[in-house]
Amino acid sequence: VLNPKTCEEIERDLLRTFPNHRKFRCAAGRGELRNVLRAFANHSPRILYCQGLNFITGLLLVVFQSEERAFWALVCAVERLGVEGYYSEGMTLLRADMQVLGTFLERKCPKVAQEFKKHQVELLSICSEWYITWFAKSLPFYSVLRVWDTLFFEGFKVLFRVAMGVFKRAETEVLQCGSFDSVMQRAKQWPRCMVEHNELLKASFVSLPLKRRELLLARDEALCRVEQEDEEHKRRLRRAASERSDKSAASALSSLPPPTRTNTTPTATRPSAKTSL
Amino acid sequence: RDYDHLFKLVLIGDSGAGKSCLLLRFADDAFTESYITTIGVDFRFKTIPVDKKTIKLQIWDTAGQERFRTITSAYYRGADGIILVYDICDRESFAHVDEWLNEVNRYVNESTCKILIGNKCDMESERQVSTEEAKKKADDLGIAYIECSAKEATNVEQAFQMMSAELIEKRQKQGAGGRSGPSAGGGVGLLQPKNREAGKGSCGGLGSCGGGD
Repeated sequence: VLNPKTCEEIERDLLRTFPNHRKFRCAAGRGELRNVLRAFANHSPRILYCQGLNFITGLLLVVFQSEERAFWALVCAVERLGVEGYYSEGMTLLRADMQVLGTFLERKCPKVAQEFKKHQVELLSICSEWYITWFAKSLPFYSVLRVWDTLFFEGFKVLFRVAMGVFKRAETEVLQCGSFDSVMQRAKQWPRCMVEHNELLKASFVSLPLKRRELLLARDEALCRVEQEDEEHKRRLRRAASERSDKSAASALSSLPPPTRTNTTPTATRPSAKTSL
Repeated sequence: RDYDHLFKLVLIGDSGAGKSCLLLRFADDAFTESYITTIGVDFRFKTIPVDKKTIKLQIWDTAGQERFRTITSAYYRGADGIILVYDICDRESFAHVDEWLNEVNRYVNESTCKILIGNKCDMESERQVSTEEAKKKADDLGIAYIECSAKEATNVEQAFQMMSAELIEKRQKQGAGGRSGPSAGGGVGLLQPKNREAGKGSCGGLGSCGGGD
């Protein structure tokens, strides 16, 4: 039996998932969304419900037109594409991947990376939504379908490819921005404009060598850094809490991700990334 | 530069309280019934006149779900103002106000302005938290309180005006000895802890750690 908090979290997002799509304008479509998200939460106690999964599930429902198939597709994808750690408590893997993306962007798309650096733009501000929803919320419909074909085939690596593909395609515009505000304001539009899916896929895959081994290595290192930071952060809080013997700060500790890697499930992430389909 | 002061604000509060709608109303003077879940963070900026001064506001809108806090906390670290939103028709979201404040207080210092907004005040018939109760709560916490409706554009502009006025006053009190004018960029500034002790070594997993000022 699902806890009421998770049910409420799901409920709150039903009306906020592709609200303009025919399917989710009517209660029946939202009912399907509710069923799949609840079933997923039951099936994956480590994740339960994480915002963002609503958009993925919504798109799966539109594509498959079947709750059951959408459910199994969601389960398999989350477990096997190397993205599970995006959704668990602490979202450690997502934060690690944002660092990795930064490194690769510098190498593969240096002008854009340079521009971001100049204006102190954090990739996390722009790309976390792309990764959490596998672009479901960000790219035009037909482009997402193309991206998902490759994502389901190759795993999380595709998220990096397409993120860099978007930046490559938008490079001229990025370089025209000239300020932090301008970058941040226009960033939403870059993926949204990618209606020419062939061009996007070309930019993402052609002449963009990206070795899985390299990616996994960088991911491992970033994961270590993020976990160390969390540990450090936790220690500091504990110290502050004991100094002030502040109950609220002590209780806040429990909401932080645990020190060990149990939560990020790297064992599940790495091998599955290698073996994913 | 085309403004007198630059302030960085962060909208926080439970999922579904109406943070994104408040921002949409403030930034674009628009409202939509078909709003979508915010994933991660959103950003808007707007320039407004306050007391004959031109104020530029950089506003971060955050995802409300608890597990996103490891991401969103990077944004309230170093913010000038925190806008804490709850839904007057949802007692639960009001009950979480203390929790939210505890959370942000771990990252910000006393000079950070905070304001409590009770949103959706157009839905009087479904109200679960009285104005008096919320007012008392805000008084106890020592922060300003205002009720808004993003839908009917009630008090939204005023809320941001209120916040800006308070920030201007604070900054003027600090005078030349305090923080200097606005920094050029936006991103890393957010990551620079005002309270060095509190922020030491914590980059929240973000690529570049803006060491000190």
